[in-house]
Amino acid sequence: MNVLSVANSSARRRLAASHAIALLAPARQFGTSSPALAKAAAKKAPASQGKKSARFKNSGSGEGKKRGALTPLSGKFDHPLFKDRPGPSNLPAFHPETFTPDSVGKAVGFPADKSSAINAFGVPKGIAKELVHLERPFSIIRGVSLETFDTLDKAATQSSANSRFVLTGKSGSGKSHVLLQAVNYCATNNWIVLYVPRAIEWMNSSSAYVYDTDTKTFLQPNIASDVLRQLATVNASSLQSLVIDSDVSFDKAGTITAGSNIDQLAHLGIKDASIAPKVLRILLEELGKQTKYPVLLAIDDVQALYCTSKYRDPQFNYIKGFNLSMPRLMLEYAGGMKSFARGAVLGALSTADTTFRIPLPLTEALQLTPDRPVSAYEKRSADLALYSKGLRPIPIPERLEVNEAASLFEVWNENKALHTVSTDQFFLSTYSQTSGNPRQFVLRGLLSTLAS
Amino acid sequence: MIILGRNLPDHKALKVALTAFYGIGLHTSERLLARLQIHDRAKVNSLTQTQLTNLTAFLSSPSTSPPPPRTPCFGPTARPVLRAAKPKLGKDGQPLKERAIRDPLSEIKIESELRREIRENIAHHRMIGSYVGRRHAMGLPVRGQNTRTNAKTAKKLNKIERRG
Repeated sequence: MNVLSVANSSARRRLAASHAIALLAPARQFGTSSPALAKAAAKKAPASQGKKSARFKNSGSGEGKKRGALTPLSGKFDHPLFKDRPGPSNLPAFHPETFTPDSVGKAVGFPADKSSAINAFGVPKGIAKELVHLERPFSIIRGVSLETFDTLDKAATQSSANSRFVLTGKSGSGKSHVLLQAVNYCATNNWIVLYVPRAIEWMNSSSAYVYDTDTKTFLQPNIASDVLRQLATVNASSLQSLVIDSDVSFDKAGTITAGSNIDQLAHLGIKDASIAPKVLRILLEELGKQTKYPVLLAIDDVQALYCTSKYRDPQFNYIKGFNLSMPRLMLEYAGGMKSFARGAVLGALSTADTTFRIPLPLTEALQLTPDRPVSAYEKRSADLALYSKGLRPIPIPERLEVNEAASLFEVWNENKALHTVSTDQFFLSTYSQTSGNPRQFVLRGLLSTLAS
Repeated sequence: MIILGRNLPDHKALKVALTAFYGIGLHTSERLLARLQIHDRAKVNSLTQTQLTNLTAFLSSPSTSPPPPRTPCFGPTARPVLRAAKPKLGKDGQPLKERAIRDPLSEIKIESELRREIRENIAHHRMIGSYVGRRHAMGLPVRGQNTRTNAKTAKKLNKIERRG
């Protein structure tokens, strides 16, 4: 390995590390500092911002800090060390019309503009760590991807109560990737998409919460406001073409009259986080009534919503997932209690975080093999069984096919992310050592070359 | 941010920053955050005015703080009760009192109250002439530790008017 490639690799590692840290940075905090600092900040703020709720303050509107937002690395390599770097790879664009049985094993680039799903919603942590090394986010189309797209096409014509699926499979088999492909497929196919890349962050006591006596749940205002902002960004044109069919009134924020755009309702919740949970609930109900656009509700780490959260009530007891407003809303759609007139609910299990394991009722509903011996006397929660009822598994194959792995290898090679001689022998040895497991193939096989 | 005379750095996790108060450890801090419905990962500079007021009110007098609010929740099948439930009656026909939930946070003492309690306990031992009192007076270990070697902490700290 020559000096230039060593210098390239060390500079690339530093850049990648700083980029990874930025991607995985925690979300913005809620509230402000002490009253004196708050007054100083208020003086500096422009008058056009208007009044905000004093109870829940967002640190900023509009851009804000995007958790897991992916920014392509193009344009960041201005240093002379990277002058021999190739231009943006010529990956085919993500067009649903081009997906045929022949496209299995082909690499396609995800849309990465400002209003794209991948940029607005973010990506799971594992995917962010991989894609940060590449210039443009991409994915490999697998056979199960096409099956999932076909399933979603059928679901576009019927109620989401009949189309509730969960991607299942072994650890590292590519569930999150297939879910991300499905999200982009629907987003480019004129669906309204709501994607939750890290459901665990709704459960790990990382965001503000407050008990609401009306709904008897613990509201999560900042999370609801974030979700509304993401929804409004990705589905702006669709939401602007839909109208509300009845008046919606709030105590302080005023009334949205019947016939107004749904987009106006969303922006009400974005401005004032204290009403965001109610706004999101009403907005999803309105989306459920309309039949113009199918709606996709995609949740990664879906098993976390069925677990007990890390939040505690004032008596210091852990709060169950379905007693928090945001998980409860998702569970009601996942369990079929609420539905969209056209659309689907698609979740993906995750085994990365062992503090939120798949609970037994969900394992049994999806007909999976429990990871530990289970007794017939073990207590099963009736509530969770109800929220899991009717979920159908979509199994993801454990290993990549050779042609799929080869495409993956080629894209990495084109981006000069490998710091070793790329030969067929290296590819085959990596593939067989990792037995085709996608995560192991990328982490142990390809990314491990950065360590050389 | 300065709370009750203690400077809590803005960037610090609130759960850890509260342990700066004498008498509050990590567990008490977690209970306090749960009582005030502040999430675990909150930073000091993320406190709102309401939360700051409630926190200060509690820390200034834990024993007189109001009991934790009840937060009834329900599962997927139950529906919220629109009318108040009828009170359950006892054998004498009078409404039964709700069983009081033990509130550990109302029993804690912090800062000056705790230091006063510790001084009073030591003074009590001295007054009754117990072994514990004598050892405090001599500045030696109280709980049976070795004195042939070590015992430096006891020699430094054990006094009748112990600092705390």
